[in-house]
Amino acid sequence: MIAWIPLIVVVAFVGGFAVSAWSPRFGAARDRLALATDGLTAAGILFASRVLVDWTTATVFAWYALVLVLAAATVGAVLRWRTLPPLKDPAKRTSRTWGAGCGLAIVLVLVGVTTL
Amino acid sequence: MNRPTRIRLIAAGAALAVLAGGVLAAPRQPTLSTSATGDTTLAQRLADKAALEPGARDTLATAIIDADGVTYAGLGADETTEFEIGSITKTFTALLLAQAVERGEVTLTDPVGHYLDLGDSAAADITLVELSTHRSGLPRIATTPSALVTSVWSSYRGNDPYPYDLATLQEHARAAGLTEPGTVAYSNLGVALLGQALAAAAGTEYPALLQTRVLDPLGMTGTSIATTADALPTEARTGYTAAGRPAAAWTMGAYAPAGAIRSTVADMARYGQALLSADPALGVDPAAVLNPQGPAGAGPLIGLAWFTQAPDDGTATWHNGGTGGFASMIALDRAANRAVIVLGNTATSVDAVAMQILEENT
Repeated sequence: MIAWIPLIVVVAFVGGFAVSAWSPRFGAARDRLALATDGLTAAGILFASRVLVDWTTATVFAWYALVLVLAAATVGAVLRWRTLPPLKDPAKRTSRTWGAGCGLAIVLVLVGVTTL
Repeated sequence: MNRPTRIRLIAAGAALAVLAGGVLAAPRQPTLSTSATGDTTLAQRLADKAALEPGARDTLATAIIDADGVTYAGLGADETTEFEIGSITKTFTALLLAQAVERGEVTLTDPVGHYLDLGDSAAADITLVELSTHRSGLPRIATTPSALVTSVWSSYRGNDPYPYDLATLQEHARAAGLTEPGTVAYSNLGVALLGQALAAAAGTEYPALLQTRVLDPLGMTGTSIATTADALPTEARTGYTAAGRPAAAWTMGAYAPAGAIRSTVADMARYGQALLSADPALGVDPAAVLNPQGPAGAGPLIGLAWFTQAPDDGTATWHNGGTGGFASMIALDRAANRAVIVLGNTATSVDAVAMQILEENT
């Protein structure tokens, strides 16, 4: 069961980005910052999963399925981009920017560590 | 071009980029080689049993020793292919202990503090036989904060988790607490200390001791031990973790007596034959290391490093090994004068493969 946990995490992030990009309402990105953060996080987590997931258990077909979902989500994100404001609530610009920056920094470190 | 069309083209381009990146970055898993060597029947048995334990496989090699001699087989490897044998190295260290006792250099009950700088620590009073039978109470690995961090990081990366010199090994031992001395608790730290103590008693270093007292007399020319990454040949084989990730070679520094030997099935078969036949080249009666001296917990019995199955489970005397990228197993049926060796270049265990082959041949 433990071997499946990293895969479940990756599915959650990539699936979350797909929902963020395509969902008409529930879970849909509120603004461009959220959409971009979701996309970059999903891509980073998927990339890191190359070495974090036991692909002998999950089979490499799961990887290709996740790549397909990410590609579909990317299409949705590009199509949705123009309809979204840069920030839904400009009053929260500082906190949102810091939050997104910290989240992306963590993903960047994860990608860096797994690529070393 | 109108705007919707341009956006659709951008979306299609982005999706293609993701797909291309996904294909290029796809995890590459080793798969068990289908290139059989040696005895074709045995190679097929090896292939059939490779899936007994889950995890990545790449190449495997095996040898069966019986009254007819030695039969070799391999998948992507042959009897001359080099593998890290991991903790089977401990049986060589145990043999060196028995030899040193025979030569009068040490006694089994000498405290390890006689030979190494362990100060007045609890570890200093541990006897050599307690180190070899894992009854010292020492932890499996060093428990200093830096050693634990190194161990966790190395486990993740598949790197050598023991990049320590003798001074650091002794520091680990001085800092270690003892847990229930007298009961069996497998300790790499303990066997590393034992090997270094034997080298000190002989006035040499562990690799030289191993070479002159075991490898040369037995003619194990395909077997070697390098205790630093720099000392390894650049073409030295590396393997894969059980998850299929490339793993670095383990040389283990001062911990080498616990697991740094690299060998071939041909040489390990030579070793197995010597143990079964009490070859004088061993320098001692192999019963001194193989015979159980007591229980090793709920299951097997333990001799000097060697485990023997509990009577209800079988009669095999065995030791396995595992490094970041290799797995190994040697199992002897002393009563039937048979043995099986299985070596693999992934960290996926080969214990069940070897045991089943041994049992089928009995």
